[in-house]
Amino acid sequence: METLDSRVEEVAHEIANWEIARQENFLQKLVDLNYRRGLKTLSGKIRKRLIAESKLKQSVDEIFAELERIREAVAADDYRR
Amino acid sequence: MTIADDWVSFDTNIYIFGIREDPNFPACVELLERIGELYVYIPRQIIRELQNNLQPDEIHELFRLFHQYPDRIRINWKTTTLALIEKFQRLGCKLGDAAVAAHLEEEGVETLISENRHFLAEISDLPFRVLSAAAALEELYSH
Repeated sequence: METLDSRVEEVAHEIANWEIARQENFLQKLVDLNYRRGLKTLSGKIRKRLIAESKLKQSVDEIFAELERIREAVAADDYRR
Repeated sequence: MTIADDWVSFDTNIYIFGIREDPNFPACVELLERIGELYVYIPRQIIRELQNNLQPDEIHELFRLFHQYPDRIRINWKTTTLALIEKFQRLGCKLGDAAVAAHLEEEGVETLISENRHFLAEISDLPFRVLSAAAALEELYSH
């Protein structure tokens, strides 16, 4: 009976025989998939926090106003003498 | 010049609406998902704004994800030059917007993607263009 390890080895061997361009394309797809999965998880975590802080339903205007306030505060901290 | 092969910067609002999966800004969500297809420059001003919007573990995780694209995402912690900031302030920018504009000019970044339609709208002859997330995606699709 085929074990998982032997199947992984078989797939890895098959990939190693692909042309370089195909291998690179495959690896890029893995990176993209991993990134998107991580981003989705992070978004979910941040949305949960925002719900707990009653901030997820902030209006667009409120968000822009907060972003503007932060922008000025950061720039003042870095550049105002 | 298209966003598929030139360096761009995302305004902070793109990251925030994207990561919140804000239903009002689906293009921000898609753009953030497809960041690996672009060349994105993240200057200090934007990094620090993100730090102010996110918890330390959240910002750490976001940048860990960005590090999966070392050739596509460039992070710069350096402050920008005061002379350039003052130039944009003289043109009518607030200090914060002037800092963002100065970072972009200093690095030769020619596209800022922002959902703030008023961002520097009153300034003529900017050294970069301002695109919405939807317009940026359209440019990416048509490449």
